[in-house]
Amino acid sequence: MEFIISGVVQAIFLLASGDSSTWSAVAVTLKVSTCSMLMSMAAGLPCGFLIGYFDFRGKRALRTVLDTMLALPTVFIGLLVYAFISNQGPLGEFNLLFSLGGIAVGQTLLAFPIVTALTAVTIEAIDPQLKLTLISLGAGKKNILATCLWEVRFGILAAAVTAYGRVMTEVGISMMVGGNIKWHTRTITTAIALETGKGMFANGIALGVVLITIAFGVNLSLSFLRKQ
Amino acid sequence: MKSPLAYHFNQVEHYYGTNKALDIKELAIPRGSITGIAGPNGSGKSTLLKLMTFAESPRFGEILFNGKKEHLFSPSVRFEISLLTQKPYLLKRTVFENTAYGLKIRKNSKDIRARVEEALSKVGLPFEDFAKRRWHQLSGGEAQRVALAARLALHPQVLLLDEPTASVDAESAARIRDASLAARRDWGTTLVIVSHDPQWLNEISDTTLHLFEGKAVKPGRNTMIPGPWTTQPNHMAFCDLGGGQRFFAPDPPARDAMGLISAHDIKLDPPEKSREFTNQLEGIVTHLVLDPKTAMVIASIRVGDLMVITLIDQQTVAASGLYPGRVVTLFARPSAVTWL
Repeated sequence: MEFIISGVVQAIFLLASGDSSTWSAVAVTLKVSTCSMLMSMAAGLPCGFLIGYFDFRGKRALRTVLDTMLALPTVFIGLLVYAFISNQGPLGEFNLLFSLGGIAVGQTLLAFPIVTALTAVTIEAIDPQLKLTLISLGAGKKNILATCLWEVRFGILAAAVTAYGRVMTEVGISMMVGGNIKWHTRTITTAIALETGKGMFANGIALGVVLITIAFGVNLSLSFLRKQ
Repeated sequence: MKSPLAYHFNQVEHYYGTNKALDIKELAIPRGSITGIAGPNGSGKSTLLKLMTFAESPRFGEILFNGKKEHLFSPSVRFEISLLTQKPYLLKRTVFENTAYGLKIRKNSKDIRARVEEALSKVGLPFEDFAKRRWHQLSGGEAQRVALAARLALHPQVLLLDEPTASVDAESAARIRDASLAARRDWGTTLVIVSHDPQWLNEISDTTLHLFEGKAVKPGRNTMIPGPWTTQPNHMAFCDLGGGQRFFAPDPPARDAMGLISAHDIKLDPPEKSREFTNQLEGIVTHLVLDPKTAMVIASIRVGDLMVITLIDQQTVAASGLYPGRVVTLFARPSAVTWL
């Protein structure tokens, strides 16, 4: 118990003193997760809208595939991305292995099914009265699309936050594709894994506190937006 | 020249899958009129309103609006027809933004505030108290009134109301009724109202269309008599109205057939020198209202569980001292019942 308490005390000191290796991991995490979230949202939102709004042949099968992808293990995605971007892989020429770009690609693959599936569910749950109401108020096709998206904005935000949480906390992709290189591709989660392995609990706890604080901040923002 | 008809249905059939939801051979609704639509659940009332908004197209037949074939997103449909559903959807915004939504779409930004204020006051919601309230800060009745205000703000040429007072408090119901009627009075709006309240429909509508299993019965003042019917050996069947009273009619096509009898065929006096058996029913007058078009008094009389509509001339009303609450005896020939 004593070493945990001492770890917490040291963690506070590390964060307050601006320990550069700790804050480097924080910066890398924020950079790469923001990048992967932007990419997954750009691709996942339209796909989720199309799947949720329209009925088409094979929709059920597609939903089953998407739902399965929600449970993809991060080490498997890491392995897949590694195979594609390593020197022998088809995308080897882009030199993405052990780079932030490589991690971002892997995390995008992780977040895409989450954003797509949750957006589709949100769109499917739109009250059928909404479309009729908009039509009866004179809305055209573009008005209907824009208003529908605005009406489900909280559901879409929730999808984004869920995906962000998964991306922020994953270890497999960052470790396998990024290589956990200090000052370069070391993220909060890979750093925690490494520091704990070395017995450096203070560093691990400090990074854990930052991770929880970021997650708390994101959820707080969402809650604030809901009230607006 | 503009067509005198707001709607003209010609041989319209509509299906959901293989189920026929509506079958209307012909229906004409004059501009500026109030048409009531009555019928049991599942009779096609809401489907009829959806077709009138052009949100759905009939599988067969044609619907003319102002004498022209129209489609969902044509300007005259988008900007002239408005529907208020039974459970209205309010946008997740303030009351002001909900009421102003249609005006903004029409890019009518000049007098939005005045129009919203006018519409809210028509439904009895003071602008200062309600404009800034959010959708979740309203009671069910207030939400329904805001939804109606959003449509009144548009000064629509046609206002379709689907059970507008079904699930609201008495005050909201009264406000909704008054505001709907004001739309016709002030802007000549054509009103089509679906309601389970025959009394209200008879009071305000120029004509009432009865629907049963998707089919339209001749418009007019009618009473629908639902089964079940118990058949007797003499081809005469009866239906229990409650309170120990029975209504007799000949040869119902099915046990659960719906009978229909015109208000003209229900009398307060016994038929003279008739050998035909006559239904004799005791009822309580619940409502009397003057039909300005025919100068006849429309009487709603409760017989057991059935609300019966009859037409009485003003002299008879005055002479017999009819008033709500009075017990009267009604006479109706069984052969006057038609089957739907």
